[in-house]
Amino acid sequence: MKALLLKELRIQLLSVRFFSLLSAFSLVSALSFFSLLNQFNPLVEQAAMVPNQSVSLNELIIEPFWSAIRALLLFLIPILSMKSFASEREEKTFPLLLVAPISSFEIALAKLIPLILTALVVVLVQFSCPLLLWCYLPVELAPALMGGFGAMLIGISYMAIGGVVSAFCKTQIIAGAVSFLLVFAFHSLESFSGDFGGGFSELIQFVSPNRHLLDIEKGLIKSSDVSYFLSLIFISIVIAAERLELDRGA
Amino acid sequence: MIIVQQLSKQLGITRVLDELSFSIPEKCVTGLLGPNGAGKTTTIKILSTLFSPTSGRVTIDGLDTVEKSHEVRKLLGFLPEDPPLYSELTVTEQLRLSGGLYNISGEKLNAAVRSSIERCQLGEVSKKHIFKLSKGFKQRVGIAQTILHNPKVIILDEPTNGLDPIQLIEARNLIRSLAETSTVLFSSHLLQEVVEVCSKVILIAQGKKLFEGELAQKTGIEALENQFIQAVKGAI
Repeated sequence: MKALLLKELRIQLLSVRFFSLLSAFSLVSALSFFSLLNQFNPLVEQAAMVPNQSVSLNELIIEPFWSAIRALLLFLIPILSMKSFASEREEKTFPLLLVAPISSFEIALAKLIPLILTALVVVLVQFSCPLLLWCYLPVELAPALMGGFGAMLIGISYMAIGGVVSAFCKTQIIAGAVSFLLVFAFHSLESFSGDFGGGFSELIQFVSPNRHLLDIEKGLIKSSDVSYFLSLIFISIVIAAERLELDRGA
Repeated sequence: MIIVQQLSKQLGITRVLDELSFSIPEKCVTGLLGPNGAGKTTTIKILSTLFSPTSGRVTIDGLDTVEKSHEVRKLLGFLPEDPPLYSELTVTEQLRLSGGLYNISGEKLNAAVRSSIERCQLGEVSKKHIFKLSKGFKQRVGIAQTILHNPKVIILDEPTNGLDPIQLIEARNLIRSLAETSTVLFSSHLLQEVVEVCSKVILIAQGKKLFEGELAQKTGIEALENQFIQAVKGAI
């Protein structure tokens, strides 16, 4: 497993493709950050005219920034994850892994761990914007960091889902398109929860990843929220491993 | 070494293999011959644990390929029709990856990679990326990674396809030399290839065995030629 893991780490993290996508993503996120900053200045001037009115940097810049990052991840993650398994099918390299004496679970782990690390790296780089602001202005650091932690959890969960989709697809393009639709559906789940009543609404809220971020962004880490994200990743690995088992004995 | 009993495989509505039985002795090159669509690749995929049979049984060194698939994989070296090579890796990196998949590490891995490179005459391209190699060299890298972990059984699916005449001669010599240490099963749709390389042949067509025998005697080759011509005509 170690050999495969190292190969995947190298292909996923040390490739020109990854650095190009990371650069493009960081550029767009920086532009959205500076756009939020530009909108903030007039609000400060307005607030100065009203007695006892204060403006919060966290509410007006940091929270919308992390929200924008989560939305941008919807586009980046399918592009990063689609290659994982689907390229093995496209390039006909899968038999090398399938006839090797390593378990399907190990193959799935070796494929999905680098993807998860990729998502972590992408989000970690985005911490530079809030930290830069913190250096010059009175930003509350803890909520700012927790927003980033939330984006990390979302990123790695979506990446695991993208990896599983890739395990089921024969081509990278199809894997990318299906991943996008699936993570977009996950991302939008919460907005549909109000349309239904009772137990179904509660179920949708439970499944929605954004719902589990609400407390985390306030700095409150609940075991139920963390276990939700860990379960999502674990289930993804198990499903990918089961798919490989089917490949091994079709 | 390899015993195939009453092997059948149904893919959708097509019966690809029909009660196929044969045996492959230790340390010789056995050819699996048949026209296109005869069921060679399906047979090879079942032997290499990539497919499970619809019915029947395959044992390799006494181990059932379905029940003991993990143990069987340790004994096998399998080269599919398209060598499974990562174009972004160099030849040495590809071989090190392949060794790592079979839990070979450290000095043992270095020695195994060196030995494979030497046996397959890959010294001049060992630092080149796979995507820069010719078809012949890619085939050699495929064979090198197949033999890297010294498997007891080597299964080669149409390994000489698309090679030029010189590469063909080199590949034949290499395959013959593999039988010094391993049992080799070699599939081809070319009669000449099988006659040149193998000491035993199994001829199949439409999923059924037509001929199984040694090629040591001239009468064996003639009988095989007649059967093969009939099989090809039948397939057309």
